[in-house]
Amino acid sequence: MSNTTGAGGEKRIFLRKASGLIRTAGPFDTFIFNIGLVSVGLGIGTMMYYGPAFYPGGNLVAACIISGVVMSMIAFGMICWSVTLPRSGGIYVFGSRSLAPWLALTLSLVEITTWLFYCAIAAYWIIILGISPTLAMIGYVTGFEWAQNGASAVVQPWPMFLIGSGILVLSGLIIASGMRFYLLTQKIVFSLAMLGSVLLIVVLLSGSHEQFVANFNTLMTPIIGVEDPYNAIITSAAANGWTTEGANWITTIKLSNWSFLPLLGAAFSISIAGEIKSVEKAQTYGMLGAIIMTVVIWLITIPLANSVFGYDFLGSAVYNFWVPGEGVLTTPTDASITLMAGILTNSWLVTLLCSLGLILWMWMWIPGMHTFGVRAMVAWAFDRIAPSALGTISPTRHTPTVAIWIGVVITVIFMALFVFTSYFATVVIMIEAALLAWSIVLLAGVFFPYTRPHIYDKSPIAGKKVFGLPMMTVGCALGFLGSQFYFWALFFDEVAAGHKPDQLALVFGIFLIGIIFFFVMKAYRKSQGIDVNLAFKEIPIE
Amino acid sequence: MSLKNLHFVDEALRLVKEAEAKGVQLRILGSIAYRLHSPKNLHLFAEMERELTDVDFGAYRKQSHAIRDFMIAQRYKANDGMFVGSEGARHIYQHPEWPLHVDVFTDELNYCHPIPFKGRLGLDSPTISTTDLLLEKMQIVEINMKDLKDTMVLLLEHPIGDKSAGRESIDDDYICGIMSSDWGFFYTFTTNLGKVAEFIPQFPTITGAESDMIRGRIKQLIGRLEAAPKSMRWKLRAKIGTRARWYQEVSEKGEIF
Repeated sequence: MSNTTGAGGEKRIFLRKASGLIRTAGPFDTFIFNIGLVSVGLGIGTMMYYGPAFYPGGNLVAACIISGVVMSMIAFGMICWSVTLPRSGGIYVFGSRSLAPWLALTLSLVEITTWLFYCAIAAYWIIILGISPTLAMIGYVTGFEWAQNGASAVVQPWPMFLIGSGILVLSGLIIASGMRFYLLTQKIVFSLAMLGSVLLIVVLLSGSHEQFVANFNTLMTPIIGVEDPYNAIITSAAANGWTTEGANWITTIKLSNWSFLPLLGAAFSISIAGEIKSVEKAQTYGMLGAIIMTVVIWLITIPLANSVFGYDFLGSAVYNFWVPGEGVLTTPTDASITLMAGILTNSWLVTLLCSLGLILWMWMWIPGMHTFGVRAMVAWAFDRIAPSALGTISPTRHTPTVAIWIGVVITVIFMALFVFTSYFATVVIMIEAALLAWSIVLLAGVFFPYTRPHIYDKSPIAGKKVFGLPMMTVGCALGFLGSQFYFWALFFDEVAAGHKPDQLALVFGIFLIGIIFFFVMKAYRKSQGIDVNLAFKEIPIE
Repeated sequence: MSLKNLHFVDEALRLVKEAEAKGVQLRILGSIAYRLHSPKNLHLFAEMERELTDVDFGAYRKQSHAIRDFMIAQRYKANDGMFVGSEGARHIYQHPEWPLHVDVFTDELNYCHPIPFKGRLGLDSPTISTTDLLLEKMQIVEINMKDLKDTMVLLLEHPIGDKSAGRESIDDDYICGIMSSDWGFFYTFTTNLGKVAEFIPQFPTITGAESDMIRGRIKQLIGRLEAAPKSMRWKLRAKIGTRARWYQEVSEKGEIF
């Protein structure tokens, strides 16, 4: 049978009927998924919050660019993997086809533990960088005591835990309602969050440094109790040890940890690759598009914020908030960028809207990372290295509810750790563990075209070469170098992560849990007559 | 009779009957359904020398778990990844011994254009209704000769809009209702009907009188669709036309996890 064609191509008859599959997420959904996990506003919030304070003298603009370039390298590697093995489940998909089964599971467990941990961090930041400064600003401008009291109250342990847990449970409810509903909510939230970011830029463009200083002093003089509190805060920080002297390119690299951390989200669509249409196009645009758009927005917003609020002031206010010292002065609540924007305009409404935008950006992390964890757990269950109950789906919503609610429980436990213990500083090292896991998988990807040619030859990128090498080899090599770069940048950064003995013990412990879990499951399956290693060898390929 | 795996038809009928006994509603669609709905013209199918490979069913999503339990009890191997990844919208099963795949589509057949099943599975048995069979074929954008020939046989066997024929008649009112609010589906549907008419000569066994009957029914249906009032959404979309993609892209069937 041959094709016949006529005018406009409508007369064509095809040889094969497409009897396949409608996948849920298109290229735009993938872009939204990833940029939501990058969380543009959160990146601005955390860079402007931690950057000037703890990396004084570090170049924020250069940090954004460095992290953007390096994350693009990592994304390139992940794109190659995801296009070659377009399945849902994160690095577990890649590791299970290229590494020993025990290592694949362990790396995946480390990865999703980290992402679930960051769900709880996001809930925590929603409160301290979003809700609290909003209430504070409302209180300062209106004089409403309930707002001022509320700003302090929400950051107390129990209220913070309850609010944060409520946020985490809400994520579970949304994911449990189905992928289409979740993607729809992400599109709506993204639109609103972008409006918040645009508003922030407009506020900064329409304001001036002089206006901010004047407004700040007018508002804060009666609260802080000194004349010219703006400069008084800077002076007291200098006396407290804050200085930009000695800053160099290493300071900037460490500072870039705070722009890199949110950018990691740009590659998170590896968790839903099996549900993406036109995966090569979607993953490329989705990952690289998220990185480029984010960095562009940062490069517009951050210099503006610096020029209006003042780098020294931002650094001093946050530094003094965290570093005790005699006579130190600072803002009564966290000197977040949304609070500063409200002070600039002397408007609690502006703070509310900017905070809402920031809160929505931070919110987008939560169901996204949660989904990542859920997809990995389901993938383990299908390969029978985790209890099959993890793959159970609800009879009404048809979503993997067991995996979803296990994820919620884990995130709530992390929330409790932050709020009720001093363990946070220890647990934050987990991002290094996740990067190490990604490094190992990316390194495996360098050799994949040679170790599994029968799989790679079916990849849409199999025929593409870079400098005579398979594209996947080059992409994953760049990805490996990129992930290693930030592994070590975080390793030597005590603020963002670090390497204290108890932290390293935690990382070692999680890897050990993964290994133990695998061998326990292997023994259990063996008692059922199932050889897990054999199941891995039988994993079907696209 | 030149049709491989004819025993798949018996298996499909058996599954429908035994599922019904368990309170589970399955309705056959696809090539097997076309055969079952065209008893007077089975000889036309014989010429195609087709090999049956799949059994496709329509079902209700609220019965997803019951369907799954039923199929597993029938010793079929379930594709867990598809079930979870599609959130119960689609099931895939493999017969334990034969090269037979069973696809179950719940609440709608969702390919180039979605075809809803809600409230319609009771219209006929053991297959979906003739109306939905026609929609199933005519929603395919990259349509092939097999699909066109199936449609020719269906249109030969079943009148359009003849209420006295009951469930044997293709319900043009229902089709008009769908097409009047969905320009993309209207475009695909009417384009494909045109192809059916055009490619009748490729089927030499169809007599002149039969050819006239098929063409007449196609003309009747297209006429009704074109005359039916259209929604504002339809009209706005029609202005864009095929400059923007008007259908969903269908991937190759593959694993999700």
